[in-house]
Amino acid sequence: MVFLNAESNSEKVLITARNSPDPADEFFALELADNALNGIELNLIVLNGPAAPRFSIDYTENGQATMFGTLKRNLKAEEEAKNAGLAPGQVRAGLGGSRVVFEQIDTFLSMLGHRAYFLEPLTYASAWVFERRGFAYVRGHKLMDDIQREFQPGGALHQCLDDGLAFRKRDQASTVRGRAWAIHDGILDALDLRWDKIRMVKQIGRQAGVDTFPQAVY
Amino acid sequence: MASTHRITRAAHLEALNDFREFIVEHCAGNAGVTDEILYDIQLAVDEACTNIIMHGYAGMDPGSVIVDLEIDAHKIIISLTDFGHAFEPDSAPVPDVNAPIEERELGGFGLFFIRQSVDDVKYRTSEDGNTMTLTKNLAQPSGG
Amino acid sequence: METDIRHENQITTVAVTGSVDALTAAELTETINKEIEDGHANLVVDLSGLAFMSSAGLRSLLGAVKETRSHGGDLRIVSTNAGIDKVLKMSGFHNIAKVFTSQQDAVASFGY
Repeated sequence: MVFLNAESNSEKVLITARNSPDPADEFFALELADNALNGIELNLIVLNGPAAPRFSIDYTENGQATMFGTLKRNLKAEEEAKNAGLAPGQVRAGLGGSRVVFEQIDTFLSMLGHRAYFLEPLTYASAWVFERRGFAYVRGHKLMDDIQREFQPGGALHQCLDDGLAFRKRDQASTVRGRAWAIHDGILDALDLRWDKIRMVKQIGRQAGVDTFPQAVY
Repeated sequence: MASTHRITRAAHLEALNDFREFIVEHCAGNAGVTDEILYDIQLAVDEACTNIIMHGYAGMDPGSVIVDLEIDAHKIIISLTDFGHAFEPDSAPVPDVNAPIEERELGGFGLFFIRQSVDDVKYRTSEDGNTMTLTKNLAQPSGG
Repeated sequence: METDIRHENQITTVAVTGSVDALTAAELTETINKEIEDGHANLVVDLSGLAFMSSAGLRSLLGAVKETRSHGGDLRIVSTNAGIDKVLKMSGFHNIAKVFTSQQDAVASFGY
């Protein structure tokens, strides 16, 4: 089932697709919006495998919305999701095919006469995926470089991984998802930094070639 | 036949060396790129990137600087794109190179050096960032 | 950027290698200022080993000229690289301080 939600007088359009009438079975969501500068924001993109198992990281055990784990956290569900190979913020395993979706977005926006669009990556893992899709950084490129440096052996973030806690396992330093979970868990406090206000830009028809985590394993 | 190359780095001073090495890697040894021309374009790129790093992203966690290089037999075109504050090239003061030491301001040479080092400087701010485009004409073989 | 410092008679020679750009210029300024604070206000700054210098390097040198003179000394530059020469010329540095093509000439110009 595909839904297109575009109210007149609204500057947003939301496209969603779900497997069944149950909203929890939504496996695709894309929201594009005009921003204050006549640019385009990609506010939301969710791409899940529709048949994949679902992890309820989006609600606490009391039924409160977690906002992808940014407002509150369901630690039990998060740990299960992490062990099943998900990145923070995902309720289902992601589809590998996002390259096609982003090519479509580029084509669509260029037909509207836009030269770029913007987004704010929810997690370190999303930022890394967007780098591979050709995005550069409006803000936060230095933060990504700092993270890369400090997760190397001897670095300040590497030293915070001591296998003691569920989200601070030593092997997390060497994978994108692992680092993302540690960052979601607040490891950047060690650098007096936060995962906050990262902003990325895609120049339509161009690949920026940013690679802050060379030879990364997802 | 133009060849094109691109490098993207975070806008911090540690990246200046990478930008200069990128220029040397793709331009040195090209017909028409004399030692003087090679230094000129390294200088122009270094000064332009320094401006972006020091002023373009001032007050925020720095974003990216994208440097595009296009070389053909007659010229080199370098575009530097950032996503920070727009820059106003016409409002930058021109240093007085004849002033005695007591009257010299310690700064203000960056844009002046850029203009002295390349043949054309263009600047544009738009939806997809701020882009400075530098054009340097290459030495032509004599008698040609 | 690296600096190699030698004291001989009344003159201190600072030989600079590598690159002086907006990242490394502060280090050059610090190194020179330390020499001046230690009482070495007659300086020869030898740039002949430098691969690259930008306006940041120039700023550092201008500052050094002012500092040495306000401490009763002076500063000479040695430059043999065409690119560095051009940076010095574009900025009118020759109107401010003497530039030589050899360390011996620069040192001798102090007249000690």
